[in-house]
Amino acid sequence: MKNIRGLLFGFMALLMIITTACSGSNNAPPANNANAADTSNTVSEQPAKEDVPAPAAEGDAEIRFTWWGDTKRHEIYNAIADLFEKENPNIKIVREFGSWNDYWDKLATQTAGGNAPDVVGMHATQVANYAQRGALLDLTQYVESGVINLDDFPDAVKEVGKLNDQTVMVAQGVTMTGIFYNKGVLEKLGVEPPDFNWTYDEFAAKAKEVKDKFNAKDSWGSNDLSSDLTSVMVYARQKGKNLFNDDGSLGVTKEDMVWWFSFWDKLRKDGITPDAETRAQYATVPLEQSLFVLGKVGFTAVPYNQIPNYQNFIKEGEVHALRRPTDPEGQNGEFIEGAYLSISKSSKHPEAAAKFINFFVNNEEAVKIFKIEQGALGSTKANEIVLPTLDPAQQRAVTAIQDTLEIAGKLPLPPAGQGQVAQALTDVGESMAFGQLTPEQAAEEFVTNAAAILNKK
Amino acid sequence: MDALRAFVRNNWVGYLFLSPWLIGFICLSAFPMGFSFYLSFTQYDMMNAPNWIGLSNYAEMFTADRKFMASMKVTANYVLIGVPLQLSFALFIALMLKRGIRGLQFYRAIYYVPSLFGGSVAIALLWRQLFGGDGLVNSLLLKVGIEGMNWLANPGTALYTLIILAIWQFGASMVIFLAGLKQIPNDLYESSKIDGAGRYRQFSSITLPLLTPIIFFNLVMQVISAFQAFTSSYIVSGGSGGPLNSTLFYTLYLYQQGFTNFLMGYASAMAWVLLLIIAFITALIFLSSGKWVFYQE
Repeated sequence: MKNIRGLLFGFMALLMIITTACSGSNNAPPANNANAADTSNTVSEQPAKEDVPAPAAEGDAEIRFTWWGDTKRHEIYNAIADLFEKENPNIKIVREFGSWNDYWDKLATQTAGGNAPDVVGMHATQVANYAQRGALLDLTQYVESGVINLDDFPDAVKEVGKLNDQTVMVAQGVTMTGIFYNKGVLEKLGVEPPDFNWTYDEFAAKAKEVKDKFNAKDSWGSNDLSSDLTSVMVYARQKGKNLFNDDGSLGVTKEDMVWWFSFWDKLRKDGITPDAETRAQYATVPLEQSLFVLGKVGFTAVPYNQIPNYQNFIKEGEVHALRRPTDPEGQNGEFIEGAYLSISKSSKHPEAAAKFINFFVNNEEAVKIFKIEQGALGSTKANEIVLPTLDPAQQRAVTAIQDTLEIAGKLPLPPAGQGQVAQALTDVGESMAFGQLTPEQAAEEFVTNAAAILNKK
Repeated sequence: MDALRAFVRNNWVGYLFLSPWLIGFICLSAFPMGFSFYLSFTQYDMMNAPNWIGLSNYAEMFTADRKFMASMKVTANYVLIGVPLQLSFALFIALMLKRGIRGLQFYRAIYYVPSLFGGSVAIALLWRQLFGGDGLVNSLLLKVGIEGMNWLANPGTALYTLIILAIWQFGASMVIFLAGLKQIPNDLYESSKIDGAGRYRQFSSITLPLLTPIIFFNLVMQVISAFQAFTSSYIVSGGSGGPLNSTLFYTLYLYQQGFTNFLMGYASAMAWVLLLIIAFITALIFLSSGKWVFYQE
């Protein structure tokens, strides 16, 4: 009998070890995150904290902030977070960051594990994945109570951050995708830069002119944009439609896509855009190795806010931007994109997180550090503060954004299957480039696949 | 009840000593596996509760998903071509080294090095540079007057660059072959020499048959790991599996579905199908082994 009791005790102990070991802990600090070096910033705040005589204990909070970017952007974001900690000694900001691709993989995993950071860098093309699945906090109460002050935000910009009348994200910067060209390259070739307003026909003619003047096998007039999701979205809007309807279904027809694929198929076959292999080779290279930066294509589609980034790597010639080619019989296709800040639903300190977001987008010192890293700032007042501090490339970016903002509209928040549709577009465009599909077949396959993806949701 | 009591009384110390492993196994292997098995019958986007859909994931995989079929084909090619080539190459190098050259230890270490960091991201990045349009391979080819091509961007050749990368990681198999070769008694070679056997005859009649248990082991290990190959394709193709899905390994597609497309249920189903495929192929190799594996004695 005594033995049995000891035995039971042993098993109970074992059971407890198992359950505690299995359950893990959600509130453990994210010490396992790759960017351990980054926490040094927060550690250095500790002594400063002791100077402050016992801050209100309930205000003490540690919030996690995550974003994507390169080294330069990390410095900027870190500086803003440091500044915030200095002004709010009772809030500590733990930072996590990574490159664009890693960022979304990690965020998806963290969100799934109920371990998402409090303040999350969000993007217009990705927000659907999170907002439509209820992973983001409704910020309306913080906007109404003034914790997040959006008084200086134009309505169009506020509107973009909304889903079903809930504010799910706040703009860090708004931008649109335009067509870039290098003025120096065009001048050297003797090609007159195109007008800000240009049609698809004029675009094709210009690209051909560039290609002809290049007169080289490894240089082209323009990048192949047939598989660029944003370009297709703009094209659909020019037709008075949307690639994705409000209800999340596919908004374009096969006929629409036949025109689209035929346009790009012809350009490629005429040698004006790169061949399939070159296209595949450069599909995933970093910015500094892209065909445009290497001076091997005349035109490419990039968000305006990246003019300074491209200019960084281009030593000869100025990077300028135009709006998208237009359809003379169609409507304006441009829509507002950009980077945003959200709070995840699992956040334990939403108030502190909201305070930080407000600081990020409104504080004078913060926006002076941030400048136009992610596009023109959401707040018009902040833009005025920042404008005199910009270099010429940054000013060109702001001008392009402001010019286009007048014609740009708001996109319905995309459906959760958007990422897969983008993949389907890439697959189909690539097959067409390699000669496995005609433009008609490509259109048919894209519409069928996309509809299948979207219907499943 | 008494039997259970007796069992517990006699064994509990054993289980206690086993507990570190047992807990690890239950938490890190058994539970996740069971959960993924459950998920494979659901639609699960990682943020909302899983939604039971029965066998739909499996049905879609085998009937509607062309990309799944493409990834199966790519993986099959990779295994069928890559593994035999890698093993032959490993055996070839092992035979070279066995001939007793001076500094054997040194060479053995050197040849093993690629395997040490073979699966790493850095090497995959290096591969991208080597086989790119203006990479080292092409500039070497140009020196002998051949105009190269873009090996990674061509759907016909991209997979082969990954196979070469796999072959290059021959070190682990080689070391095992080398150990196996040393097990073969020297007197067999001596007596065969007296009987007039040449080098080729020695290889085909002594070395190869006596090495079959080692080949068998290496084959099973390499087939299993080849089916699970992921890093090289993920890095070399930039995560896309392109061009034209020609490097879309099974595991890469699984990853895309799970983490990029938020179809964790589907990805779980794919994981289980892969497990069954590997189990089936391994079983086939084991069953066939009676026909071609010879054990001394």
